This record gives sequence, C-alpha cells and structure tokens, in this order.
Amino acid sequence: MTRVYQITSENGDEYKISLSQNDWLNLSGEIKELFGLDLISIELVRVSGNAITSSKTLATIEQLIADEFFGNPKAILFYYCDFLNPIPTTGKKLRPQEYRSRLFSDMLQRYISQHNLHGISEVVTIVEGIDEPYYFHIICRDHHLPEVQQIASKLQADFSK
Amino acid sequence: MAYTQIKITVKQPSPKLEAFVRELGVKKNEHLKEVMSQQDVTKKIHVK
Repeated sequence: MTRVYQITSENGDEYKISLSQNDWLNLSGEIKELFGLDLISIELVRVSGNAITSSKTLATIEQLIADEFFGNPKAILFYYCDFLNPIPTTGKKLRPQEYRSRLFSDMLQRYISQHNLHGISEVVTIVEGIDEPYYFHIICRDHHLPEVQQIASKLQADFSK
Repeated sequence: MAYTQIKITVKQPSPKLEAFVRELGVKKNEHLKEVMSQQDVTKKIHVK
C-alpha cells in the first residue's frame, strides 16, 4: 500500500510525501517473511517552489509520518537520503545526503520531544563509499531493535563477500 | 528512554555493498520521479 500526500505550504510551494510498503527496495518482502515487520519507505520531494520550508510545513510532514508509524504496531520506517538531487542553497558546505540526514533526525527528535514520546529508536547507518557517503535511517520501537540489528547484520553479511 | 539514536558507520565497504547502496540511490531517484508525477493523491493538505 502506498499513501501519497500533496502538501501546499503557506507561500504556495508544493511537496509530495509518499509512505509506501511497495518494494522498490526489494527488501520489504524478505523482512516481512523473516521478521514479521512492515518496512515502510518514506519519500519526500519538493514539486514546486524554492522558499525555505516553514516550521508549520515541517510539522505537517512530521505528523503524517508519525500517523503512519503509530497506526501500525509492526511498522519500521526507512529513509534513504537521496544523494543525486541537489538541495536548496543553505550556505553550509554539506553534501545533499548529509543535509537530508541531519534534517530528518532533527524532525524526528523535535516531534518526539514535543509529544513527550518514549521507546523510539533511530538507527542511522553511514556507508562510507569511495566517491560518496550513503546515509540510511531506520525508525523503530525499542522492542524491535533486535530485529533491526539482525536485518543490518544480514545485509552486511550478504554484501561483505 | 524517550529517544535513542544509534549510529553505525561502515568504513571501507565491500565493492558489492557499495554497489548495492549506490544502486538503491538510483532506484530511489526513479521512485521519486514516480512520486512527483503521481496523480493518485491520497490527500491534499494546505498549510495555513
């Protein structure tokens, strides 16, 4: 199942967020079978406009992600930080994927703090490639951490040869 | 604990792992284009 939300900000900029169990990753079927968990991938894209994203718009995005996560007790969220598309100029010399990684963690931490939530873990994996670092985020409930660690170990083992 | 962040850094990944994660990035880019062009929107939200 895929849910796509179209968000129009106060100044008319348009975003789309997709929350999907569709398997563009080729991983979710195996994870469901082995661990009984639903891997939900998050995609966020700016469709139009170039204004700085407002805190209200970020809060709307955070709420959509939280609703998906808390609406499914077996959900683990997956966010791959895109390294191919540029980011708006921020004045900071960050790679796009690093900027997205920091922004995603900041959004998550802010939401958890504002809603006084407990028992949520974020696993940030950085694969330091020759040309690029690659960033992945997995959000899960604390009691799913053993399964998430098994998934990470399995992936590393599968690709270490 | 309210929130725990665990950071895992894979230094000097195997060529196979690096090729896999790079390929994921290419697939994600294709998926982003699909999301952008998708007309079947679950909900439209206007931030005020």
